[in-house]
Amino acid sequence: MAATAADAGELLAQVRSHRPGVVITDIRMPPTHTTEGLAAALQIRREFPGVAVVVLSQYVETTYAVKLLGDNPRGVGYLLKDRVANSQELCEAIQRVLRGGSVIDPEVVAQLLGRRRSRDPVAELTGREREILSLMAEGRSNQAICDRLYLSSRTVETHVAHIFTKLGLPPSADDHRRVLAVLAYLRA
Amino acid sequence: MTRRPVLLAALASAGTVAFYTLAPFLLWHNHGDLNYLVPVIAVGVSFLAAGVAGMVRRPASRVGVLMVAVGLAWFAPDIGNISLGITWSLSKDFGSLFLVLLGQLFVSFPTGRLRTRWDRGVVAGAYAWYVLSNVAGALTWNPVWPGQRPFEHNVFYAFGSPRLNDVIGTVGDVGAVVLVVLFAGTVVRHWLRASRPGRRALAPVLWATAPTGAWVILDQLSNRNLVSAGLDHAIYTLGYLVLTALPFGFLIGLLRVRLRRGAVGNLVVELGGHAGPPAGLREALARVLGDPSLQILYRVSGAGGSEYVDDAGHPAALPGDDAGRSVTILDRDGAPIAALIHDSALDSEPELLESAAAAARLAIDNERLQAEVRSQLREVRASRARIVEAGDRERRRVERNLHDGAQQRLVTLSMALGMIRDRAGTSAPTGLARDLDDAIVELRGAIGDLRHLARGIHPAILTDEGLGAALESLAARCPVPVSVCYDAARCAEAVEVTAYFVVAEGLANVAKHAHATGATVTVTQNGGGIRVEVADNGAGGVCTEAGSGLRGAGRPRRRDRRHLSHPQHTRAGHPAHRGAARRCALTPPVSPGRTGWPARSRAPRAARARSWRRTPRCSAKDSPGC
Repeated sequence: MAATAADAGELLAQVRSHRPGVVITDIRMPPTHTTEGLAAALQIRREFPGVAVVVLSQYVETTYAVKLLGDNPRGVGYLLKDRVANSQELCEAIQRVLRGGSVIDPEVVAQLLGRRRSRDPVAELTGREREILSLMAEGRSNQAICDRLYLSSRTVETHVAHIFTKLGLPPSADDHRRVLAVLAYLRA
Repeated sequence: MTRRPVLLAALASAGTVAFYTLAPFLLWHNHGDLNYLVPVIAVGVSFLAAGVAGMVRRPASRVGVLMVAVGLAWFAPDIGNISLGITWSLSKDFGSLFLVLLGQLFVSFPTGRLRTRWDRGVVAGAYAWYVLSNVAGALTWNPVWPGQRPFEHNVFYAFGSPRLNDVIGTVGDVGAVVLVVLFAGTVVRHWLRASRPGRRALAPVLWATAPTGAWVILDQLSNRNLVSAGLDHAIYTLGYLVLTALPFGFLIGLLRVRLRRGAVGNLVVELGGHAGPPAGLREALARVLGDPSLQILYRVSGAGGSEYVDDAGHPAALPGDDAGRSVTILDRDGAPIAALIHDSALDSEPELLESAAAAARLAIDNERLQAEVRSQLREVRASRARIVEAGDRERRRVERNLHDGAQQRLVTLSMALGMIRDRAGTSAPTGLARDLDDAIVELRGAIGDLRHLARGIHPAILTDEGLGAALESLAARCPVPVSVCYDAARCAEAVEVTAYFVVAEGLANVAKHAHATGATVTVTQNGGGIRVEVADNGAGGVCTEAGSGLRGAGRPRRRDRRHLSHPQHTRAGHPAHRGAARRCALTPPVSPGRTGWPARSRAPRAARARSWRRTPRCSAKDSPGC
């Protein structure tokens, strides 16, 4: 651990001096205890594109997830604070963002998937397809999905293709573009 | 004035007229000359009738009494028709009393009271002339003419010659002319000194003075045989015409005051119709009282005690006694609340003044009460807004405390447990790892529960991102598909919090009762506030019926926020169109400054509105009506 910071100003100063690989920040910080952490994270992403950022929050809001991802989901994580309890989960998330991936809390994805729509193509997906859609939305690559579900990469690719067809999304090989497209679809 | 004097005067008048009319036929069989009788009766009756009417309609003025007195004095000489020496002598020697009373009437109009020393002097002089000239005449007059009846002699005769009597008579007549001039001069003097309202009151006397004075003087000349027979007849005709018309002129003068009092009634109606401050009160009062110079001063309690201020709020002093201005104080429970500064001439119409003052008091009182109620209402609203705001603040504080306290510690605890679990992973006895896993799962459940609780107490996103984002988040959690259409600028926080809870409750009810397959939340700008509508396509019907998602929408907890909202439940227009809607117009509380914008958004109002205004955006594109 390179440094700790008590508020957003200090955080930015530390990032400037230490250039860490990854920043883990709470969304609420002094003085107003609202969304300083989010603002600081966005600024770090603007100023230091190479520094990965994981934002922790007591509540997850899709609004914040979307804000944080912007149009470039590389090296960004947005997690419920509870996740720190599971060190394995936390480490995995940190490694993913360090590798330039994105991590979206399953709670956000569950919220988005659980959202009811009047005409709902998501409801037409099979159980397995929904599972894969969730993992895509959380920012996982095909390989990660294979590992997680103990499936062959070919099977996963087929499922992904089916999902994109059913949802009417243009197929995308790029994992980063894919997470944005899936989130945008689910939010709409 | 009670009714008794009026009754007495009416009875006396009726009796006199009856006696005068009937006596010639019943008592002394002298039918007289109708050409003479009718005009005489006309003059007397007009004075008596106008006098009684004046007493009834204008009881505070003595003009009525004076006119009755003139009427009675007019008929008095008629006792000379009784065939007695004493009555004949009284009639001949003292029959001119009505002239003096007439003079008094002229100079005392319209109050019937003599106000100045000059007036009293003139009237006293007239009575002195009357007594002296008539007593002197009575003592020295001893008439003798052919065909003289036995009772036709002066019982008061004591001494003197016809020549002496003639001199006394001439002196008396000159005195009469002088008095007429003095009376007329006094009336003109009154008129010249009067203000506009005063002149209007004096108008009847002024116009009557010239013909009456001319008649009296000409009558004296004719008595002296100084005019020709033809002119004598003209004077006679003129006299009766003038004297018959005169009392009615006076009566109209009195009644006009009465008519103006009637205008006070209109004033009350006019002022009653006004909402807000009686800006036109002064103008209306000035019009009714006929005094354009009228001023209203209001008594206010200041730091240095009470003082009078004008309607612009500038301090003003009451005028002194000698300024020709009078002050009528309007009071409530003995304490002055305002003062009318008006022309002193209006003092002669105390009833008019009193009526106008009463109307003004009503208007001022009315305004004061309204202002009081408005101020109390403002205070109550502000206090309710403060209470609601304090409640909101408290909820935010509780949520923050939970966030920084219990939630934080539970997360730390769950982290510690996780680490213990990791360490125990390999070497722990069987069962311990499983127990630790169970504990971690339980703890996660507790953290989740606490998160829901905290969100229910105060949704952080509402403060952070505003109503639009908070409603999106709310809609996302609703088990029924909800589309949110948000098109409003950012509002005072109290309004946003209220709107949030209104929608939260509405959606909860939709989910619970409406059996709906869809709902829409629409937020639009509504003047300075916002308009919120929650509609569903569920069972619908009247909002309070089971099956409508709006049932119970308005729990006591919401009631305190009601000053912010005007809920309105509607049933869908067409019977085939299921569903129900709840609409709420929410306006900012009394003082946005005091109830507070979020501490961090201190931008000017316009800038804030711009930065938060969004284009209409719907979260579910396939929802109808959005």
